[in-house]
Parts: sequence; structure tokens; C-alpha cells
Amino acid sequence: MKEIIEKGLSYIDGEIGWIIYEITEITNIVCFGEDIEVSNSKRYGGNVRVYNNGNFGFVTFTNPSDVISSAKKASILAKLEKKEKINLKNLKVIKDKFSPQLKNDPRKIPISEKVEIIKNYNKIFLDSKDRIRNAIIRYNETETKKIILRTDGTNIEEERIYTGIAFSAFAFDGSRVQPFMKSFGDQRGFDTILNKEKDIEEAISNAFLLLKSEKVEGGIYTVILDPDIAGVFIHEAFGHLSEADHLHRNEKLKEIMKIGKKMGSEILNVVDNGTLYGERGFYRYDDEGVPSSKTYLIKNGIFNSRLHSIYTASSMDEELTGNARAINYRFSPIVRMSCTYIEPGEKSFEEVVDEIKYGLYVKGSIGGQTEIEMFTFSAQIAYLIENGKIKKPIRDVILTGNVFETLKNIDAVCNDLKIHGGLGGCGKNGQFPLPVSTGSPHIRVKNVLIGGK
Amino acid sequence: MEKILNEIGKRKIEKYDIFYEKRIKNEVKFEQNEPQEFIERKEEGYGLRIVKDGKRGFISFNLLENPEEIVEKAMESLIYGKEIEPDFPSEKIENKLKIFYDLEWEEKDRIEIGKEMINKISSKYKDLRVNANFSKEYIEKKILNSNGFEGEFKKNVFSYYIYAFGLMPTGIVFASDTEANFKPKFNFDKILENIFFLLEKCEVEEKIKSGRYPVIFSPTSLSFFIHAIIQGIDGKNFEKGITPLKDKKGEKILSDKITILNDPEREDLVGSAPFDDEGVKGEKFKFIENGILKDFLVDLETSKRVNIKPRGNGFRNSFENLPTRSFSNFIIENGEKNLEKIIKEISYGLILYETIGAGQSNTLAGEYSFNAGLAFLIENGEIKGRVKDVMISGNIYEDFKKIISISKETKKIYDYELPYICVSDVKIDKK
Repeated sequence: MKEIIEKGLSYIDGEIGWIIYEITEITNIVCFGEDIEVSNSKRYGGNVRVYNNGNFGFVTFTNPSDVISSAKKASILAKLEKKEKINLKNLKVIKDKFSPQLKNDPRKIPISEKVEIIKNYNKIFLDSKDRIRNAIIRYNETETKKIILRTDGTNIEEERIYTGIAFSAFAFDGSRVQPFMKSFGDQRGFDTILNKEKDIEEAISNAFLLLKSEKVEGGIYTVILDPDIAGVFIHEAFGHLSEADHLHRNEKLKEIMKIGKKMGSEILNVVDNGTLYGERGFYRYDDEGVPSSKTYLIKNGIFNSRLHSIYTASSMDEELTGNARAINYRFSPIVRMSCTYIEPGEKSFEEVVDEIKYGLYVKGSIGGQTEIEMFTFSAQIAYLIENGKIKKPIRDVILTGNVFETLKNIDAVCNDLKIHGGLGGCGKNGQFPLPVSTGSPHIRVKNVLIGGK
Repeated sequence: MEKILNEIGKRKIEKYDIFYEKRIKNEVKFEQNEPQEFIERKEEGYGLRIVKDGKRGFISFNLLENPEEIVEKAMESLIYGKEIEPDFPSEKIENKLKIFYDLEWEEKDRIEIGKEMINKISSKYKDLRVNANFSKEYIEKKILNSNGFEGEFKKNVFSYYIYAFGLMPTGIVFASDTEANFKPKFNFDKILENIFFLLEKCEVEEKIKSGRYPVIFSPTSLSFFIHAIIQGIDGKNFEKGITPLKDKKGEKILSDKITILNDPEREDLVGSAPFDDEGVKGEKFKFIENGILKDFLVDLETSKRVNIKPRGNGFRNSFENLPTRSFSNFIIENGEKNLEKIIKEISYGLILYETIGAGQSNTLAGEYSFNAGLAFLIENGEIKGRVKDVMISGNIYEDFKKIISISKETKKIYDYELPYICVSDVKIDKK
């Protein structure tokens, strides 16, 4: 198959071109109450992408034999328009094959054994009908084998195996439904989904607890974010802002996002790191064949670097970072994050709680969204903090803010970094979900607006 | 399909359906004021569902290398298949809908339109940048099943998406517009008018204090409401007992001003089709009529479980998936008052165009809480400037009982048709 795909390269007519071909096999096991469903599917597909005079042509195909016609078509599309010439960065020609070494490879485990494990988890839910009405468990295993070819001779084969599990418990009191979710996912192998009994119990008891708790009072709070939600916060609030594709031709935005600008206090260090082997956001090469890297977005409070594709790095004349990613062969790569996290500081969690007179301890993430300077993110559960003591649980906590103000309001970073993967991912320009990791230690933020009753 | 049918015959599978889908999407993309990418996305594939001994199995594929292996894998999926026997339709449906027009939308024309619109926006707002996408998608679907149903249809969907973004006196602004049609005919002057209206209102910032005010939700801001309603009336959530509407059939759940329906035969909305992705003829049905919950949304499998009549609401995300429950076209019926009059009647309140973070609350319970991405103050019946750093929150099952009025004007957004909805006493929190 690879030989057929390689033939397409000589039909690419442009400054530079890529051919990607992927074979993806997905296994899902889903339990919803008593129902269990198992599915397996295999997907073939590829694309040709051609760059010429500032424009891209992009064509997808399924059958490898269509690669030549797709290469010709993509070349024609790339020439539909002409723009100002940009000198592309010098690229390293790479020839490499990468497949991860897994301790417990999910592909070697029979489906019956996987089903048995999921059924045992489901039994805990089914046996808890006194506290919850129902529950969903999703197991997902995705294997992707990818060939990345570039007209400069780059020839890469990369294999990735994602394993993960997510579950939601639903408590119900006759009128209100209260879910609580947990998820685990990475590229470490089957062990990632084992021994989740305690987490299932936590989901059940938290759903039940939240059903009886009060809704948050709207207002401005000092909050402590746990590593899960702080990770989503930094991804939403600053990660997206550091992606170069929304400002490479916008002088006004470039002024706001000038390298060297002070973004937060000296204790704040933010990293995007695609080289973290085993994490969900790990990859060896991005979808342009550029190696992943560790990039300091914020160093000691100062804006240090942006995330780039070849095109944005070339047009802004900044360093390549290897962040051009696509969710699959059907989409062209755009600038995306990998594993984005706040580096640990020195304070202990207890110390930081102790210093709060009135505030919220916010835990677990449902999601977040951003529109450059404004962002929101929502928590699974929160607890009131009064005079340094964590008190009653509170529900429906959605936080919002202006990123530049909020980063400056981070006044404590703890020493307990945790990185989270899960089963979902990041969404941008219609591409969802892209596997990413987010992480952080506990952090404290002052003056956060929360909507509520 | 024939090769697969042969293999099915060999294995004495008596109940099955095969779904085929082909999509060719052609896009012209502008990024930050300039044409950037030209795309052709081709995709076709099959979904095979089989039923044997009371269990249902499924497999999907997009490259038919070995038909025997594929059907064998479908058989394997029966081992852990769901215990359900859906009743596949047998009624032959002739497609009488006018939803296919064999029209082109030349890339060159799309590039010209994009350039012209961008020129008009940037000559007025130099600091803003415009992203846009003009696309044509060819969609073809075929279904056949063991009950003798055979059906197919095709359509071309033309659409655009345009948004201007950048720094304005009130901070970062996103102003967008989108539409889809079976023909490449759009009123681009009207689109520009919509965008200019939003941008002009972003010149001045207005203050609002935390409190409860009337809010006009524009069609583009209603996604949180639609999401919660679809979850609430979902037949599967009903079956599993996790919707708050579980015991509310026949009861008033929203204001009597609101009627929500599915209409698969509207020739001006792109979700229209002669049958759904299971071959069931689409039915025009008011799921919520004058605020009263009439029924839950089912596909064939949930229909069997909850004993509700299927009305053509089984749709697949792609050939790769089994059907789930959804609308062909989601329509909120319009009201009698003009938007202008609705605004005139508000002495102090908000009109909301964009949300940030909608759908991330406990939507199943009807909760919502989001940042007002783009919202303007209404004072003494007039739209003033932009309000920022505002959270809007509440519960749709409480707040949408207090609808003051629904506008006569509607907006078609792909397979949705939505009016402006004015709700009283909505909770606003301000920094």
C-alpha cells in the first residue's frame, strides 16, 4: 500500500506538498444501564495537501489508487489564487518509523476480557440504584497507523494507540437530574482503564451529593482550582490565544500578543509539550512532519512563544514548534495544542486554602470555551471555603473572565502538578475531538466572575 | 452492495439494513482577509446492521476489500449485540421533494464574492480581519433492508459562513453570519448589513448592574435552549429515566407561546429528506405545541423499547454510526410581533447575539450559564451599545415559561429555523 501512496508525490505540482494516509481501527464498549454494546470499525483514508504562492489545495481520498488523481487535483486547487510570496522555513528532512512500546497492549487483550471488566464496573452502578437513577460507561480504544510523506523526501510512519474510559452517573429526585462525570485516557496502554472502582464510587456519591446541594450564588469569588479544571482553564484561556493562526495577519492583535509582554506574576510558567510520551496529547510528528516539541508559552510571567504550523511560523518568522494537527485525514492540519500545563510552584494546597477567608474550591471540569480574550469554563463540583476551611458542596459553577486580567490574578501555584487526558478532546474550526492533555497543580485565582442564582 | 448481500444470504441473516452515504464537499476558505485554502473532501461508506436471535449487530466500512470478512465481523458483533429487534420499514417511498438542483458554484465566483465582501468590511473596519468559507456539498443516501424497503435521494447543499473579528473600542469582537440553501443563491448585501449592524453596536460600551432583566435571545444565541430541549425530549433519556420531562407528556413544560416542530418537507431548509437514515418517512410533528409536551423523539430501536411511534427521527452522524434521535429540520414557530416592536416594548434589558460557553452546564436538567459573548443593552425601546463581562444564567424549564413574545422574523441556520424569543426576568451577573 505504501508504494502506491508514494507514487502520488511526483504528481504534486507546488512549492511543497504532503500526502498522508491513515488506517484507524476503533473499538467501543458502551454500557447504558442494563444495555451493553460493543462495536469495532476500521477506516481507511488519506489526503494530499499542496502549498503554492500562499495558498493551499487539499483533497481527501479513500482508496490508495486515487492518490494520483488527488495529487493532480490538489495541485490545481493550490493554483486558484496567488498571494504575496512567503519564504517557507527551512525544514529538516526526516525518515523515521515510530511505534510506541506499551506495557499492556490493549490490542492483545481479547474482547471478552474487556467486556468482563466493563460489566464489573457497570455492576457497581447497577447496585447503586438507591443513590443514582442510571449510568453510562464508555470504553474506547483507537489505533492509528499513519504515513506522512513530504515532497522534500520526508517519509514518516507513526503509530498511536489511545485507550480510555469515561463514565457518568445520573442522580434524579423526580424533577432534577444531576450528572457527575469522570474520564481517563492516554497512550500508556490498557492499565489506564484498570482499577477504577474508587472513581466510580466517587461519581456515584458526588452525583447524589450534588442533587441535594445548593446552586452557587452569582458574584465575584477567590477560587482555588484543582489540577483538572486549572488545566482546562490554561488550555482555554491562554493556550488558544497562543495559537498563531488567528493573528498572523492582524497587526492590532499582534500588539496585544507581543512576545515579551508581561502576562502574569513571576510564579506563572505555562508549557505546551507534545513530547510527553504516553500522555493523550503526545505525538512524535505533527501532520506536517515536523517533530513535536516543548514550548514555553509563558516563562516567569512573560509571554515567551507562540504555537505554529509551518505556514504561520514562516509568515511571522518565528521558530517552528510542531503544532500543525488534524483530527483525521479528512481535515487539513491547523495550529493546535498538545499537552498544555502550568508548571508546579512551591506552595502546598493546605497553605493556599488556609489563606482564604471566603471563596470556592472548584473541582473537575465539564468543559470550556474561548473567544480570544473572553473565556468560560465549568466545574463538576465546588465547595465553599470559609476562614481557611473547606465546607459544603455547591453546584452549577461556571467561571468566566478576561484572560489578561485573570492571568494576573493567579496569586498562588501549588507543587502538585497532575496531567489529564480523558476521552474527549479539543475542538477548533469544526475539528473535534483532537486528543490533547491538560494539566496544572492547584492554583488560586482572585476576582473570578461566576454566574448563578 | 451486491457482494455484501450475497454474504448476508449465505449466513441466513433474516433481518438487516444497509445504509450507504456519499459526500463530496468543496470549500473555498478565506483566512484573515485572504483566500487561503481550496478543499475537496470525498467520503463514502456503508453501515450494515443485522439482527439475529433477538440481538442486533453493526459494522461500518469505507473500503470493501473483503466482503466475507466484513459480514463475519458483523456476525461477531452479535455476541455482545444489544438485545433489540427493530421493525424495519417496508413502505416504498417515492421522493417527491424538490431538494436536488444540479447546480455548480464555481470556485472563481466564490473567490470573487469573498473578496468583495471582505473589501467592504475592511474598508470600514481596518483593524478587523475576516474569515469566511463558501461551500458546496453533494450528499447521496441509499437504504435497503430485509423488509423490502429500497430508497435513495441526493441533494446539493450550498452554504457560507463569514465572521469578522478583531479589536474594537469595546474589546475583541466576533460578528458572524451563516446560511445554507439548496441553490447557491444568497443575499450578500443583507449579510453585510447584519454584520455591520453588530459591529456598529460594538463601538460603545454600556454598563449594566447585576439583576433580573428581560432578554431577547436572537436565533444565533439559542443553541443552549435547543440542546437542552433535544436532551429533554430524547426517547433514550426517557427510556433510561434521566430526563426531567419523564412524566410530563401532555403537560405544560414551557410558555404556551412556544411551539417546536420537526418538518422534513420544507423545501427551503436543508435538512429536508423523503425519509430518515433508517428508511422511515419523515412526519411533520409538533413535539411541543403551545408549551405542551406532545411526545418524545424516537428512532426505530428506542421506538420498540418505549412503545412510541417512529416519525422519521433516526439519523446517523455518518455511515460509521448507528442512528440516534434527531430532527430533520428543527423549527420554532414564529410569533406575530415584529422584532422592532418587541424591542420598543422593553424599557431596560438585553439583546443577546453570541454566547461563550453555552452547553457546558447541567443541560439535562435545563440549566444554563454562559458569558454574553455579544450582547447589547436595550434602553427605552432602543438598542444601545455593547455590554461585557456579563454572565447569563438560569433554567430553561423555569425561564422559558416566562416568554413575553416571539418575533415574526425568523432566521434559517442550516436545518434550523428560529425566531427571536423575549424572556422576562433573566438572571444577569456583572463583574
